[in-house]
Amino acid sequence: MDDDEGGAAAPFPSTSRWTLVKKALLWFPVVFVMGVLIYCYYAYIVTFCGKLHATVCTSLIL
Amino acid sequence: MYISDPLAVILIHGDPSHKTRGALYIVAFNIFMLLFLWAFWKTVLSDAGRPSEYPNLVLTHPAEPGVIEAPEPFERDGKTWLPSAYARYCVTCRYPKPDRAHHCSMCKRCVLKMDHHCIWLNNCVGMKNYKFFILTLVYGFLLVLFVDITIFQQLLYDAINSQLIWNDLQLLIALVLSFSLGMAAFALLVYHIYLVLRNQTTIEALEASERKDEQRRLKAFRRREGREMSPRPDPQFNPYDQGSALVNIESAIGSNRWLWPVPILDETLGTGLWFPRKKEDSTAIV
Repeated sequence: MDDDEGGAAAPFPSTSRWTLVKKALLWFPVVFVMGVLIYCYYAYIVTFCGKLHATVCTSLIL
Repeated sequence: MYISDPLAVILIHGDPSHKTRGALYIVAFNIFMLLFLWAFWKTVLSDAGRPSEYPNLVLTHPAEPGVIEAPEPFERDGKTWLPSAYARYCVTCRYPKPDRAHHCSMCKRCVLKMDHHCIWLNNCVGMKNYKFFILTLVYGFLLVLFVDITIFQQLLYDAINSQLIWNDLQLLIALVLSFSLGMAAFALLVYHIYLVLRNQTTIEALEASERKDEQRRLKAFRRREGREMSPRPDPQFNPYDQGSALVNIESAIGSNRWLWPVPILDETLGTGLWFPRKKEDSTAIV
């Protein structure tokens, strides 16, 4: 059965809403990969920038 | 602290918190990240190619399907006549289905030279975005490799020098996450390099594997009955393998080698409607 078909056999009263939810769920893996990337980016940059900052500050003080 | 392993000496004495090294890491990391994101979003947002892009397609087929090499497509009466191993037609799209095209039940359309539907990209991988997909795997793996090596080096250095701080926990989580994704990307990359070298899609490889299994079952069945199986063609025969790895790579990602590492579509790739096929060796006994 097509997703946009209505009628009694429809799994939810509003099929178009269900289609929207399904479409949104299909994007979840993409969002997950992006989330992991953003986290790694944050962890990596913050750490190395933090270390860099500390090194630069130390060298300036000394 | 005495360390005998030369690798450990390099890792520990090469202080990653040194400002030059740190700056280089950040530049290299951003380059890998940009290349990966470029390839990734090109794969996600590109159309893999569909037969309906080409109006008035007519499929013809040679007298002996799959055996005689098909001639190239030609135009007549405003129509594109497309020689195909079998005159295939998609009943869902109500449109001719060229060789190597398949209907994707997720995308609800036919895809030219369909490889597979990737849930991680929410898109079909086919004729026009296969190169981007390969580059996503390549740059994803390189990014993860770089990140994991440098993070590991940093953590090892901090642990040996008792300088572990809160940021190192974040690094550890990033290491585990990126390592998991990287291993998956690596396995997929190795498999797809194998497929590219053979000019085969994932669907074709699975079909060949199914044919092989079927033939093995049939052979076992005949043996139980005490009968010999008649000679059959090789179930893993791939008619699109051009015999040369380089030609196979060019037919998958284009012949312009300057564009190979760049996620830009190579116009030399062709339409995806027709592919040269080699003759099947009908004398092969399996």
